[in-house]
Amino acid sequence: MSMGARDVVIHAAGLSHAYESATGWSTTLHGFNLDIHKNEFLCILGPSGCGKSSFLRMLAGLLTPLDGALTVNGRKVIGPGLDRAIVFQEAALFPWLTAARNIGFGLEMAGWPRAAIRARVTELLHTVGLTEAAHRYPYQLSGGMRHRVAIARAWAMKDASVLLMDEPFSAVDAINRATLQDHLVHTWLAEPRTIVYVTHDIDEAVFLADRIAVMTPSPGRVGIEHTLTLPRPRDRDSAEAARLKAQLTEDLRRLRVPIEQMAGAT
Amino acid sequence: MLTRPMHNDMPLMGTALQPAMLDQRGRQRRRRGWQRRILRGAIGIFGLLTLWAAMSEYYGLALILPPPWTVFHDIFDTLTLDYRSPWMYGPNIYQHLAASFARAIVGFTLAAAAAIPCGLLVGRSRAMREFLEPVIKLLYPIPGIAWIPLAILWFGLTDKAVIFVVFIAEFFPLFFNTEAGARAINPLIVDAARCYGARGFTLVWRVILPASIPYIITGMRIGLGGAWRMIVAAEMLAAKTGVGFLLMQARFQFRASDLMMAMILISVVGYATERLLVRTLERRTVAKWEVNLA
Repeated sequence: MSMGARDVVIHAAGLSHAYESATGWSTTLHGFNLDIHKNEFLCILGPSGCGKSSFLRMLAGLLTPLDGALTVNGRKVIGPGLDRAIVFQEAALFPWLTAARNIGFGLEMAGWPRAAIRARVTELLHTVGLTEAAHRYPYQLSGGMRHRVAIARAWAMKDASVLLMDEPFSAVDAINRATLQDHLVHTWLAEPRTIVYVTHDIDEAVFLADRIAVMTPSPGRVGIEHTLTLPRPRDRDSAEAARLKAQLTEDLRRLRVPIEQMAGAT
Repeated sequence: MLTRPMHNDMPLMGTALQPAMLDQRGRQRRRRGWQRRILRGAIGIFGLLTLWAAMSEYYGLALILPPPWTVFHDIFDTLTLDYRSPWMYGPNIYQHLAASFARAIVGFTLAAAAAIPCGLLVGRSRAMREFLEPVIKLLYPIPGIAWIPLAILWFGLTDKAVIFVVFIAEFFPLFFNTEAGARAINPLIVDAARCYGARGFTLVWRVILPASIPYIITGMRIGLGGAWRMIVAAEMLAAKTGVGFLLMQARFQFRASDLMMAMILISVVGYATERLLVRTLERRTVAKWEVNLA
């Protein structure tokens, strides 16, 4: 396989997780396996509650799996680390810091010198088109602008080889979402990284991904994978994209059935 | 489908939306709001004064409820140090106020310095909460004034006794508000901070503390008001200067007018301090970040 020759950055084998709620234990991940390669844009596609966010939180080091192995760059994931940057579903900015200071927060923590932080932040403000808003506080920014700051904050982490994105644009309106996706692809092409992008939006996955891992609903694992060959920049409405979307819709529908049979069998 | 261009080149009608006009409107509205508040507030205060004067006159209570003008004369005399009736309280009013003020501020500052770190720790760390919560919850029901006799026993009739009482009494509002603030932080903000490398003291200083500020300010407002109240109580028993001491002396001398004069000065100084300290802090933090208590 040609993929095997590339460096594996993220290796997940047999990840399992469950949480206890009022109604008893629910399994979110069960025997989750996935290898992610260097500078790959990987989308994890699945319905709500399939455990895709759990996987991302494990990658971020915010959640410890009950079972299984998870390594990033060959090291076991123990807690959060500066080799991974994350964008959440909400912008999750620090309200007491200006846009510029929010973007520079991770670099400050990483101990970068002030001048270097300033240069990097200026560069990123330009990339996400927020140069004018550098000294505004989060409440003075629109929803779309806040998400751009959140992305810039993650992107600023030059030494982070992995970028984790947990449905970052699902709370944004459709017009802003398209712009943000364009920004993201543009930035990624200019400065390649490994991106793990969790989404429940088929259109988004088809527009963004090199590879799409479709998850089965709870207990979650990867059901089907698609490697995309669509050229970039992508046309959202091309015939091939439409065909792929239809295929993914079908995948998501089909993956629901066997899992219930599997649950009965075990 | 027929698409037509919008006519954006139409001339704008009128000047209502020009920035200068909008600015003027805003200024005008703010000024009117301010004038309205002053007027209504003045009417409220005037109502109270009228009631006070009427009670005093109607029931002939000049000795125990002197009318407002007598008290205002007294305030004026006291502040100008030009006494018409003998001054029987040792140092002049400014020295009394300064002594009380200094004690309140020192006690309050010490309480804040202890209560805010404690609140953040207990709010964020389960271990700390389990160690400290029983201690704090057991001490909390003891009212501040109950500590006064013990404070006198320990420190004598000194500043230390008064400061200690203020410290004990104001620790709790500061602590409970800070703790509530630390607990109420959006977990996502903390996750984000940890993902971007904030840990330990840095996490507390750079994220937990600023995120708790709205609650801490509420605690400070309550604590500062409480400190000023506690000062008066403690000084009545444990001091030879200060407004509390002055009040007690005025009672011994049966001078209701001096009592009310001191009470009004306590009110004014307390109000001014709150405005100056808490509002300044608020303007520099919460108002600037536009975060509100959820």
